[in-house]
Amino acid sequence: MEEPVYLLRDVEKRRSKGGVTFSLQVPELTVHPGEFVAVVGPSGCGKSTLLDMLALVLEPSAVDTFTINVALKGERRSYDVTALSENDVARIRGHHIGYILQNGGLLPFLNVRENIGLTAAISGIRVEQDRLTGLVERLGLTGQLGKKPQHLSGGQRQRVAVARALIHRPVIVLADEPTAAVDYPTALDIRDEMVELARQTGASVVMVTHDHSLVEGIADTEVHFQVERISEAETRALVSVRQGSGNLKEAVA
Amino acid sequence: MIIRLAVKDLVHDWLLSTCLILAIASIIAPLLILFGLKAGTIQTMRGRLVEDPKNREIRPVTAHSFSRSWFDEVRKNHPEVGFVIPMTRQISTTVIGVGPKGRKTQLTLLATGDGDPLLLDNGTVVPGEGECVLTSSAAESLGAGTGDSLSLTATRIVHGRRDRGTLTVRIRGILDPRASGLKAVFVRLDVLEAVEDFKDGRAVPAYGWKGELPEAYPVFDGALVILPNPLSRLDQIMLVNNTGFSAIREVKAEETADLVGLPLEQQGRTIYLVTVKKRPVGEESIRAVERKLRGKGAVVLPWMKPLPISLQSGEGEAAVKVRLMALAASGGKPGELPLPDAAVGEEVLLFPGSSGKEGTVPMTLEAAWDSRVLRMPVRVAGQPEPGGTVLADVALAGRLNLIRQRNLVWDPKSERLLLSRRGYAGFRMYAATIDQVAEVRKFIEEQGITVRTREERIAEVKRLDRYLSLIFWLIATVGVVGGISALTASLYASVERKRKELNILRLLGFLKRQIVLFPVCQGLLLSGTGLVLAGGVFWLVARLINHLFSSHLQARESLCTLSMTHVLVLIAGLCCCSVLSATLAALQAVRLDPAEALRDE
Repeated sequence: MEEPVYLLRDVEKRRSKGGVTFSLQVPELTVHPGEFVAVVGPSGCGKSTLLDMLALVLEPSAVDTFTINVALKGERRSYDVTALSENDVARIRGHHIGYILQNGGLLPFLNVRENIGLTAAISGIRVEQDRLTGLVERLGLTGQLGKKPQHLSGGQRQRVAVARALIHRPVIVLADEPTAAVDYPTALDIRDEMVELARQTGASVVMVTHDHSLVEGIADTEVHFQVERISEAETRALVSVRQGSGNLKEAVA
Repeated sequence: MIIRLAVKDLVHDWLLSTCLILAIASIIAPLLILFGLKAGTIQTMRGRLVEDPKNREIRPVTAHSFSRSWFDEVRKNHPEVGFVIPMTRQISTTVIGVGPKGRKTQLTLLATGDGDPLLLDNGTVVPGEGECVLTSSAAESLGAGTGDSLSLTATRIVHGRRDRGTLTVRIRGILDPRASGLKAVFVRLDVLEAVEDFKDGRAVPAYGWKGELPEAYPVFDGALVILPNPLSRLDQIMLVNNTGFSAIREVKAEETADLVGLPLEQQGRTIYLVTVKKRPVGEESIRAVERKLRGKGAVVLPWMKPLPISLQSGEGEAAVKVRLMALAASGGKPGELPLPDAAVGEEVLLFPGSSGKEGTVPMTLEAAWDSRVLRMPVRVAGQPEPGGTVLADVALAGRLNLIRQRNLVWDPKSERLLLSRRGYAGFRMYAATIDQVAEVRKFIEEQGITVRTREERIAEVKRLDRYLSLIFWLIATVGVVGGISALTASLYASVERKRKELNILRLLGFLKRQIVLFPVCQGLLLSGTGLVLAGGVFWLVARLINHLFSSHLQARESLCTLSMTHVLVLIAGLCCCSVLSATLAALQAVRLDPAEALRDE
């Protein structure tokens, strides 16, 4: 059995805002290679907090186990996230994580080609022309490469974000509401393209969405939240994991 | 990589970037102009004050008499006096100049000499012999230019007759108009002396101007009175009374060798020496003594204290130092000479002039007393020994004796010893620096000479400089503080706007310090371009200002200018300010977790 990409056990993140404490508790979460994990829940339940922890930009408050399995300095193994230096974290983010933001997160001053190549450029990874052409064709962006993001439609922008997240063949793709800003049919298309392209490189996908219908019956694993108001000043969200049907392939086919 | 991104971002947001650059330029440009004006005006004023020798001039208000030695003393012992040259009486400095085109104008003659700041600092050289320098107004009225020749004519009225003395000089240069508004011509001092002499009725052989010759007159320190019979005490006193002499004593014949260079013979006669107390007397005193002794068979021989002189037989030959005495003979009556005939042949005798007497050798005599020096050709009979005595007849010796009081000069044309001038009516004086004007004034006024200086103006400009500096600094401080705030605010705001992009970059794997580089780089680029723009504006405005005021400015002066140091300080300050504000803003932007920051949008 391959080692899991993420292994979280008894991870807790507490944060206070305006006198209200919110705590997110993850008893157990495992993300296997190539797996499609859907994080579903209404806003304010802690989806983004969880994703940020997985993106290594948010440090958990309390941890039993939190490992990430990536190659660092040529050695692929499970690393204890809490023990990683800021430089290592940045390196992992650049090399192994593809990040898709809600509204694309494209840099307005770079054209599509430059935006797609940015992640790779930061990490100093060479991008083969074939890879770029393939991705662009698959995402229907042919002919848009010279344009600036402001001249693209919302769907096209998200597709550029997908291409940018995948171009350097990351181990993990994290998508934060990637389809929130587009209409439903486009959302389905983008979801499918993203998941399919990730499969081609064997990347695990963690997708956050408030729309359960987008992932129902498709995700390998679904992550749900049970939100409890303990008091005026404290809210707790408990993460529970459900095995999904994982029949994306069929759905796409 | 990050720098390339920063530049791309600026280019992409060209409109906003342009606004920022314009904002920064509009902050810097007025500051540049302000500092430029300050530096320019003050420098111009200082320059005018320091560089214009007129401000360093110390000018006597009334005419006095200044001896040559006074000038020598000032030049030697007063380093704070940068330059001093005598002036003759005002009345004798007026001449008529005739230019090359025959245009006539009345000119003021002024003396100049080596190191004259009025000439050197106003674009000309000091004229040499036969040359002159004109003020611009003089040159204009004469229609003369450098290289032209100019004739100067002095006039006088002697015995009801109008006389003219004319000399020709070549124009060596023309002064900057700021030097003087007078129609003046600057020449060597001897020209002025000549003109003054001419106007005083004297002849000036050097220019062929006729007139009286100021011949030197013989003076004596005493007389030997030789009498067949001794005088009573009363007669002795009566003898010196009212003659110019003040003392009388009897001397023995043996002493006379020391006194007159020749041993006299007593031959049963009484010899008295009458002497003056201090001031030597002229021939009339000798005559007075002779008159008193009329009928007593007396011989009166003028006597002078031995005068140290040196004799040189030719160029490069060693000068022999000897003592000059008056030959103890009353002229024209050799039969009465109480000298042994044999003695004359052994003595060394001097005759004036370069030609004459057989069996004599031409030599150059040099006599120096205090600061006065006289050189003249003589003919010498006999062999002068160092430290020995030479004799000259009373006419020559007595005239040479005058060097103890007066300046003498040998006129080769008339072969006579002439008196040269006693002193000067005034002077033209400049302090070495502007700050020494007061010092020079003090030392001149201590001698009872009232002078006029431009000290008030100097103090005024200094005060103005101080006040202006103060005001400038006040404005500049406000301006700089405002500028820094505006610059900081602009850059800070631009970083705030870039917050999202910065956090995306961070999420994509950039390190914090790389992220900070992004706005810093942008800040430097923006302020750098703004500075260049402001520099351009400054350049234009400075040219405009200098152009507008060009009629009030002299060449090389600028009312609005910046020194390299100022520019460097400004650049450094601007860079520091931009880096600092951009860094602060960037740190503020990446303080939050990137994902959170993005979602906060």
